[in-house]
Amino acid sequence: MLATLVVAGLVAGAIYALVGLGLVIIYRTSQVVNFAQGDVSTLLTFVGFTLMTQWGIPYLAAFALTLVIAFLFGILVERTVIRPVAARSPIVAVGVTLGVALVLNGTSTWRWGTQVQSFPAPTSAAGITVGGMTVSGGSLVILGALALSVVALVTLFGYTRIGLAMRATSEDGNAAELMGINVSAISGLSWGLAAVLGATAGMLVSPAITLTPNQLDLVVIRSFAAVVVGGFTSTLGAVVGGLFIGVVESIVAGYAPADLTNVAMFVIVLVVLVFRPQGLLAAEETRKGLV
Amino acid sequence: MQYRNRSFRTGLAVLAAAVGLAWAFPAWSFAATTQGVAGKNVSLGAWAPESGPTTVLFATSEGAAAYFKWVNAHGGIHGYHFNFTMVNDQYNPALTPAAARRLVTVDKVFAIVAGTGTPSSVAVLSYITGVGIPSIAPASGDPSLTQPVRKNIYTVVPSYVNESAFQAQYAVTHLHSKSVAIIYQNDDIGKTGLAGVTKMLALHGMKPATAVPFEPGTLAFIPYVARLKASGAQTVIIWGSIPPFVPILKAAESIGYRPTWITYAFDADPSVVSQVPPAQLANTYFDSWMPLPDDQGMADYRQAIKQYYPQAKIGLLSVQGWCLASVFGSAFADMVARRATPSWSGLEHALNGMKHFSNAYVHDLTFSPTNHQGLPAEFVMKYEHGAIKKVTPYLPLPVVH
Repeated sequence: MLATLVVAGLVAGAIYALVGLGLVIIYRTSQVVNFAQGDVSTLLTFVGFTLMTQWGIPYLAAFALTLVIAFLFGILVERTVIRPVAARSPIVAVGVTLGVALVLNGTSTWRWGTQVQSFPAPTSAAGITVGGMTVSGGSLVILGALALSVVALVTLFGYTRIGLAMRATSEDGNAAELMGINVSAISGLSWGLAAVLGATAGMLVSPAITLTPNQLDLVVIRSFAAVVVGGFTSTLGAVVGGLFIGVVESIVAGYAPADLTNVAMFVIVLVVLVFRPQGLLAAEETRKGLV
Repeated sequence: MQYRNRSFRTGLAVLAAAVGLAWAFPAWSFAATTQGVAGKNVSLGAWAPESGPTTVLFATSEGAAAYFKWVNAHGGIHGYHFNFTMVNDQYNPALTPAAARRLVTVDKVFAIVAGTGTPSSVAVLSYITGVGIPSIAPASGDPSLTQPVRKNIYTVVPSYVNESAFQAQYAVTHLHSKSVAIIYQNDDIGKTGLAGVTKMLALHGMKPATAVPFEPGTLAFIPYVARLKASGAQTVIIWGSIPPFVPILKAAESIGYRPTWITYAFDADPSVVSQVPPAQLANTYFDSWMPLPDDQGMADYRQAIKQYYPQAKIGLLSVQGWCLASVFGSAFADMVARRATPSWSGLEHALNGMKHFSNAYVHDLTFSPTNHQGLPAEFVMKYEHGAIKKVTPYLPLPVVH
């Protein structure tokens, strides 16, 4: 049973990590905690749903098209809503993200209604069975998507000029600007990437749950916990934190009274905040030069 | 001085008497008279989760609204037309009191009809009771709405305690399950369901094989289902406001656990069951008090939803709203058929006169001055060969306390 719980926790944790990565990327480049990440993800998941089920576009093509739309949408939000206020104060921008969340939630409700929708699954494959435990095809896709995202981000940040510019911006925006980096463009790029990650998480998790305008509320809370544990300034921390939170949640739910599930998670968050407020991996990564 | 003292004492006595009366009879202290009727136009209203975390339940409000639009479009009820106002409370009990006060004092509605949501309905229970405005058929089965009986509140949705007891009884007496477990939402609604199951099993000399709570919004159900599997339960009852039926059954399939499932009718919606692994769906029973959307008698409902809420899906959530609103419509029709001018007392009189009332929307509805929970029976259904079918006639709901 323990192996089952661990695998289930890793799959849930992968979703928390994908959403958490979006939070971290935005925070690192603009110092804004994006409370709209869940609603951005949900709205874009509905876009993917429309492309797949109403426009009849094949799954993979619709998935890819949604990611393109997500990237442009993230940039649009940053350009039109965040950038005008972020220059004044990141705190104001944080408040604005709450407003964006409400607007996007209302938009999803207005456009797609309140009914539970059935989002197509990425694969109908049965998955693999190990020791009597079946890991579904959908779960494998989620884990694979997280791995792919991490590889892509590490490559981007570690081996490209744009990634270097993003790292410079996250270290010191003013200095980066003096060095000729277009910090505004970097911020827009970050919002675009975060939206792509959010859309990926939303489209992958929706077949396992159901698609509604509020489906990711609890996921976002878990994702915030994940990035606090891993480090709000660490991409690898978001991944480790997400997987850690997912596994802890799963094991506690499997063995302890369910009332303790949330308690255990937030005790972990509190302990981390007290003894290592920067998060478990933030300092380590900075030393290695990773974002 | 003596005069002033006597005057003061008299004033104090009058004040004390007024406070005493207000305390003893809270409904009188703020009671308005009948309101919301202007000629042949009647204002009605409800709180509704138009936004917020449980917007899926807004379909019930839409069903109620569609009913009144349809009634109006077909000449009204004995010439009376209805203006149905929905005030968004976001399914947030902190916001429902303001919504209720607005309906009563600003919109001055004649009655609250199909106010949606258990937390919302419970949050304004004392206010609605105190004002005395009729609250007809809230979309909630919380036992506190009808126990004790309040003269102005009438419910149609079965008490959650009785309904969950019905499910447990069905598991034991019809499915002959030797071990029954429950997985429930970890809140008041879920715990009410747990109470009903536990009490019914106790009547059969049994205990739940296990009782597994989950938090609303839970993503990964494998840990919870693994506990059900470890208990060896043959039948599992799923209980919550809108329980995550699909994720639970998918999780069960992924760990090779195939018990018999019993859940509420909302989960039988085709859009929901299409996501359920077929092997699990074959083992699933749904209980309901409502007709199915595709029933012959629901043609008006289907037409109305398509016409007035084309965005909404034809489904049991909006069927619920339609049926709940129809109970008000039937009582109102009875009241005005007696040539009575619409009034709160007249409506209550008409409701109390409903005995074994059945139509396409409700079955055997019976109210009395001492019983304001009207439905005595439910039926059970199951998917067979891709279509939902009733597998029992209406069966009496057990009454457990």
